Amino acid sequence: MPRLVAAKLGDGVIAIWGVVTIVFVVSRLLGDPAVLLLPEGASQQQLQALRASLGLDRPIWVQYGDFLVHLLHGDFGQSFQFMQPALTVVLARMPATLILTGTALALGVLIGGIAGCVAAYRRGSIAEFLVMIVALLGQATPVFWLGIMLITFFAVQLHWLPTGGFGSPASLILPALALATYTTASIARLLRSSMLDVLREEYVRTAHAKGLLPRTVFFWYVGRNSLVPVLTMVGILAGELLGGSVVTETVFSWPGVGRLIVQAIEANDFPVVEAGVTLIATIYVLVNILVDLLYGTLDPRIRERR
Amino acid sequence: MSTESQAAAALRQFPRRWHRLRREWAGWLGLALVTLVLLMGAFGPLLNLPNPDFNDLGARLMAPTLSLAGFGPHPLGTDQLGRDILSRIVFGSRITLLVSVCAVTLGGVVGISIGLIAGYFGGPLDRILMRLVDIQLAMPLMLLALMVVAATGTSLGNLIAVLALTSWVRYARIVRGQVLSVRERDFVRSARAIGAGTLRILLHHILPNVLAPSLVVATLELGRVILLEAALSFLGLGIQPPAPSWGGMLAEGRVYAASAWWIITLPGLALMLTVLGVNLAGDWLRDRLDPREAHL
Amino acid sequence: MAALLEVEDLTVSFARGGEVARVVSGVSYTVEQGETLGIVGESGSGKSVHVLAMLGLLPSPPGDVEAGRVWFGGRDLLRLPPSSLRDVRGGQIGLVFQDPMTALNPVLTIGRQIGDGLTRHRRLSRRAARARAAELLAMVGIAQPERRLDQFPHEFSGGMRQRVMIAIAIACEPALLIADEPTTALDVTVQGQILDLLGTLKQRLGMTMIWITHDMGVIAAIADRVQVMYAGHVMERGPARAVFHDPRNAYTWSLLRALPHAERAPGGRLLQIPGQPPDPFNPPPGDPFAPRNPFATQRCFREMPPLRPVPGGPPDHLAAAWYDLPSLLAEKAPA
Repeated sequence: MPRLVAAKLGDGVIAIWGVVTIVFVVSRLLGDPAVLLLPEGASQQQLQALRASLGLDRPIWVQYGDFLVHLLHGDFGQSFQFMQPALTVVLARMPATLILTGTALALGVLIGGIAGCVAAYRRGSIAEFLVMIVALLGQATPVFWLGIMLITFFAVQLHWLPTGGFGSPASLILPALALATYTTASIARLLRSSMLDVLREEYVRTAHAKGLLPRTVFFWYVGRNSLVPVLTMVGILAGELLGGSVVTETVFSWPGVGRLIVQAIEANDFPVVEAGVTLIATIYVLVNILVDLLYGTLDPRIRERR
Repeated sequence: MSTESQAAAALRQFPRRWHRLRREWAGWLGLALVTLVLLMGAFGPLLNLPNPDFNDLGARLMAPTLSLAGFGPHPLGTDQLGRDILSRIVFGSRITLLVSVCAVTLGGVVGISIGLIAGYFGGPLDRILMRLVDIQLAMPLMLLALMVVAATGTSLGNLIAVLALTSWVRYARIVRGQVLSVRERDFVRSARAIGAGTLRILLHHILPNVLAPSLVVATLELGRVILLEAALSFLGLGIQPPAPSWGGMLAEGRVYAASAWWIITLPGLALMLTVLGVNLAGDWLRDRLDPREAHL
Repeated sequence: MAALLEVEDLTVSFARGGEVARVVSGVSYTVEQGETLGIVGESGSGKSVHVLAMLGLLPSPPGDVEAGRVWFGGRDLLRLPPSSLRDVRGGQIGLVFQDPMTALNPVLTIGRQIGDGLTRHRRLSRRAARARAAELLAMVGIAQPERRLDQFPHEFSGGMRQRVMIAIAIACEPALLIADEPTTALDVTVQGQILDLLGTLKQRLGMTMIWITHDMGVIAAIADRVQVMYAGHVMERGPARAVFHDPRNAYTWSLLRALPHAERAPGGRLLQIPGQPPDPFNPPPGDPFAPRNPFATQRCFREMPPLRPVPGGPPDHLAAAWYDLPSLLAEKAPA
């Protein structure tokens, strides 16, 4: 088992290194921050001086090597916008993003899970039909549109909830709901189909033939066996959520990392872009490692193959 | 059989056909929606619609004039610059479809090629390529798209390339898996034995087998790419104004959401229905091509 | 002595795409304490479906019990409330299914799967259930039972899994054991072992058994009485010896003829019954076997014959036939 964890961490490190390199290359292509930082009409010498002070006049290889070395110390450089260590800036916004995406994921798993079970067990009923319709719509709805509609309806028209910002728990409701929609829909559909497959299996009939209580059959026979594909999807959804938070944070003025990255891109503030994307990718890789390890607990056959 | 018993036999078939239709309603709905959008995109400009870029400040923020009485001058209303919403939706569909279909196709070509190479040749080449896939998948696609578009510019070609970039990995994975299973089958072995060249084997023997799952991936990707393009346009990094794009319309009209609901609601609805149609059609296709995976 | 199980006029149908097929038609029989009843038939005969229907295990939207009563322990199983039926299943009637590869839950240990019936029906503690599970594994001939309890189904071979299924079925010492094609999915050598095992268990525990199969050879080995089913109807029933030596229904006779005989000259062809079973959605009138029956009379095609005692045989030997098979056989030489 420890060997397995080490191997997965190794893979993860390589993946993150790859991400970091891509981010490095791409963010250097964004443009010249010196031009944006200095007022209009600054002379070439001033621009050059600023670039030199930022270390931007060295060959790209040197910059890359330097970048990697600093990276290992957790140093992404100074943000051009805020004149603070980029990592600090990103970490300050991280909790907001984690709260938002965490809540959305939890909602998705909870509501999607229940909906999926209901749809599978009440095959052919109105309940199943409704769940399917809502799930299909949920997967097709653009997050930002839903966000705007929710704000317009609940905040502007009804004044029940704030229009944005990060203050009270009430301000979490709308953004989390908007972000959770796709997740909930995907989990509901997948769990339903996974359960329908399992319900057809012989061992479920054996369980009933043994005279076991319905709830025993549901948890230990149907439930346990339905979870593996859903777990895979949760891993993928975590990534979608982290990426999708960009748009949601923008719509709701939520002070998270996603919004920070968008702003940093517009300002050509590459340390912040690098720090932000790397951190998010790291979280995503860790979540997937966790998911991979969880497979083993769910399905003993997978344990064997290692 | 006499005509009477033929009719009776056909009538007896009716409950079966009706039940099959009931079960497949989703696929039919999807195909209907997709066809509608395609028709709108293809023939929309032939309708007598006002120019989508024409600013008519005298007619700003007009409510939809569509009613039982008729279409009126602006059936779906106008936006904050007096541009006709219906027209913008129709023309926006053209761009959305163009970009999305090209992106999915390009991503498909690249992804299938890489999947074929990785699966067929194996060894270190396979490992490197799959590492590349892992690396790309480690980054949320939205962020990747954002960064690359910001870095390379928002021309249409760039947009298509970026969207294709987010897409190719799905194809590569599936195709590689298929190639691995097909590679050792007898018909491939016999082709090699008669001395068929590698390229011929790949194109003539292996490729046809991987096309079906690729098609399924393509339909799933299409929905996702449409939404991604809309999100990029919304953030200002996609299709640039004044060209009409559904995402862009949402961004521009956002401030008027409460007072002029049609500016926001209608393009969003268009997006949702398009993606819904594509998803439903994709599910139907998947059920047809791979009955083992049938869900509905 | 009152019969342990009495099935009365059981009728089951299946719906598909708006059409309805009757897969079990008015089946009635009894099972006496201590005996082994063998039920024979090909696929589609209703032999498995009617058992599932009896125990409420039929998937209910497509399946439907149209009519009938099933008396067990003084109660009609078909009209019991679900909780009582659950007590009967596993606790008083044990079921062994055909395919051991898929009948066990892949994510739970064997010990757990044997034990959960015990904790449910006999209220044993986890530890007591585990001890009893080890005993049961030993009883069904699995070596090192203690170690095996913590293993998972994929670590067992097919024959061993079937033994585990048997252990599960007899765990609560049910009065009746129903085995649905328990050896069909196993190789021949393993089949023999399982047959022996069940024979031994039957002796030791005094179990009453219903054994469902399409294999006449197996029936000959273990059944006291035999019931032959075809297309949802009972075609013949009686003491095993009587049915095997003196079949009165053409279908029974065809099945017996189709068995490979040791005496036949090598190189001879195996006999088949020509034709196919009827489409349950469009059954022809009359005796369902008539189209394939070389001895069918006109009346067979019009009317289903009732199941009645055969002339000149023991009183409990019943057959459904309008024709008199022995005399017809004497006239025609067998092909």
